[in-house]
Amino acid sequence: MPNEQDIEPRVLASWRTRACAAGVCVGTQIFLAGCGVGMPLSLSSAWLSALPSLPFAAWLVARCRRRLVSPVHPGRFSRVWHTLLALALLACSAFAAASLVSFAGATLVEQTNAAWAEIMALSAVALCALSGSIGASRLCFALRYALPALTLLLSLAAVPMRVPVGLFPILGAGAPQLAISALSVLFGAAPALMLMLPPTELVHRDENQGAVPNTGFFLRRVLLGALAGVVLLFIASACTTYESIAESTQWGVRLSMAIGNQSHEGVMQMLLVLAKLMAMLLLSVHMLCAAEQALLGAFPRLAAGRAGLLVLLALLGACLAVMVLFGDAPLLAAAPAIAVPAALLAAFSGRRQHA
Amino acid sequence: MKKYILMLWLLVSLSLLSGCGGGQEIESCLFVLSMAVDPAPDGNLTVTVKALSGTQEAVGGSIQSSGGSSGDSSSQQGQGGDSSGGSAQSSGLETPEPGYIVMSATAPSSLRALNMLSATTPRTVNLSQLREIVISQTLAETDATLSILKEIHSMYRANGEAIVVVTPDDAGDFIRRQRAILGVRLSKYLEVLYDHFAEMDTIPPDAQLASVIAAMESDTIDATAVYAAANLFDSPLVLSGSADMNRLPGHLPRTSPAENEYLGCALFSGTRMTGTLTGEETGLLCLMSGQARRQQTYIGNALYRTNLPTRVKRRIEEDGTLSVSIHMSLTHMAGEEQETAASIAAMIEREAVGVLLRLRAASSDAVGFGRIAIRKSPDIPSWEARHWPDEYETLGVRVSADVKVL
Repeated sequence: MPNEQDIEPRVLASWRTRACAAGVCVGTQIFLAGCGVGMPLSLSSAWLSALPSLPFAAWLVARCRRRLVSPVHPGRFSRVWHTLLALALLACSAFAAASLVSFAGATLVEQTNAAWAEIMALSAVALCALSGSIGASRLCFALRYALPALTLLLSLAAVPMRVPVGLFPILGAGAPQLAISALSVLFGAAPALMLMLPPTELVHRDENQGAVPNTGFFLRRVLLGALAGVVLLFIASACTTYESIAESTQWGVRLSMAIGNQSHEGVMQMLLVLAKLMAMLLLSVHMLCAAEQALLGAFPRLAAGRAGLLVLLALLGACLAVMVLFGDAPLLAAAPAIAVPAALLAAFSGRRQHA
Repeated sequence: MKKYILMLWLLVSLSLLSGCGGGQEIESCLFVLSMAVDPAPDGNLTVTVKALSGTQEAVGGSIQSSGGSSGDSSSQQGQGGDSSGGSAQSSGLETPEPGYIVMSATAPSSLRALNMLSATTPRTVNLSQLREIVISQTLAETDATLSILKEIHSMYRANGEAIVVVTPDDAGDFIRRQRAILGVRLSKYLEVLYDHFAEMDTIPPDAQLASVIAAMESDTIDATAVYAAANLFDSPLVLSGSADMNRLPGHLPRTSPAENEYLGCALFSGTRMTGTLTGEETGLLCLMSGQARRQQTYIGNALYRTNLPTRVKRRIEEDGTLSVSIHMSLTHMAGEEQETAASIAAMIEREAVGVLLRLRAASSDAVGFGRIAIRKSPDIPSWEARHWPDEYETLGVRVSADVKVL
């Protein structure tokens, strides 16, 4: 198992960027999953139900690292495996894009038609994804401390923190609901699957330059991001009464709970809204780019003219169209299922490498 | 070729990503500053709003008209129709002072009344700049309060920071009497007014619309609203036998162009108003809830500065007694000291116990003991099975005060 000192600095920098991007993405998705799926089930103890996502994320990261050191050999299994990975990552991207639309609809563009907001979101994701994953990853790396710190500090300032009124009862709606909620929110760790694929710039490197850092290298970055997501969810859910959460049947309203009563007024609230929108956009773009990379692993011919990305964008557009036609309920009901392919992919992720 | 396609896409996206869809012109909206809700015959509601008229005469005219009275203003009827007619649904338009317009409509619900106002103006009613919502006491004592507030907050996206006021008078007349007697903008006047009274601790700290709705929906705390009424004294009659602020609004010995007085709080039990507190009692409520902002206080003829932070601990004893312990230090600033620290502490304890007993008699847990009681319940079903509101009415109260005079 190579140490960090044994890896060429430029290669190590690429891995670090990838790991930091995964951390930001996992943290964002845990927060979104908690607001979208956890809160309706466990009310103000959604933060508690998000805690099991941390060990799940750690397990996924460990298995992803194994897959990196023993890549799938080309063949029929490889095609199925890459397709499944692409679909899981695409589902994460769709979930993030849908939350982007819901959150923007509840805060920035309240008067705008939902279909129009979705076209805007799709265009933003498409434009960022077209520039490739390297730029988005580097942006994530640049914001790896600033974005979570800014979001947490602004949330602390915006939420009435006088009394964490929702902290009790600690088990929320009850232990069974908490357990169901914990299982449902597990998919918040799914963005860690992007670590099954090497950074784009290292795909065609030779054997020596393709050295992979040890598991701890990835683990601490992803877990820090995931922890930030749980803390953000804690601020949002524990500082809101369980009655208010039960009243909030709309996803966008739940997402905007952590920005206080004045959702769109005041510099602090606006900065918080923008920081969260940025995190959601980065998540969606990263998942889409990683899905494209996985899809090219299954169907290399789709590399021509970036046909793979266009296919994925069409599928993403279809998901958002479903949201326009049937509301966000089908998407939220289906989202926890992302954890299943994630677990399957991690379970079949190569053999343990002995030093 | 690829670059050109990307450039074309970027240009097309400029129109998609501008975020300008669904914009509203300022002139197309009716920006409401104050809203009043009164009961009307046959189960109807009369909604009265005071809004910006947007005319050029706003600045000059508001100063000239500051001496107007409620009788004068309410008698003016405008072009919108008859506000007091016999029909079940009617709307009225009045112009009590330049720069502002008062409109009212009567309908079976507040939403329908607001829709009627939109049809009368004709402008879109916009409550994003709402500063206060006044409800008549008769209406507040029914279960309709929460549904009215929620409708206004969620359907019309009213400003969550707007202050909820309860008045024993006609709420419509209450906002008709309001005018900026200092400054020219009513919105700023109201903001400063409520901030000032909040700093004096004579109005409750959590009377904002969003907080009141949250408290009414909550099982762990009860809502409080500002209590206000008109003072019709025409001479500075001094009432004896009571502290200066230990009165309800409408009973202060003073004269002023501003007839309305904001003093004390309306207590709610669940969604229904069940009692009131005087200005002095409201100060003690603020103190016991740990939200006191007052920095100076008169005790006898001496003026003291309250050293912040005053530490307040609320707990429920093993025997179920609701207990509050207050630790505060006072710095003597002026006047002759007549009381010792021990006697001041005893006085605070006595008055605070009186406030807790009044709260308990009104079935109002405005201090928030429910938030302490809920900690012993592992989950929501077991908490709800405990029936805290019933239990609260049976518990004893105790206050201990530790005062240091510096």
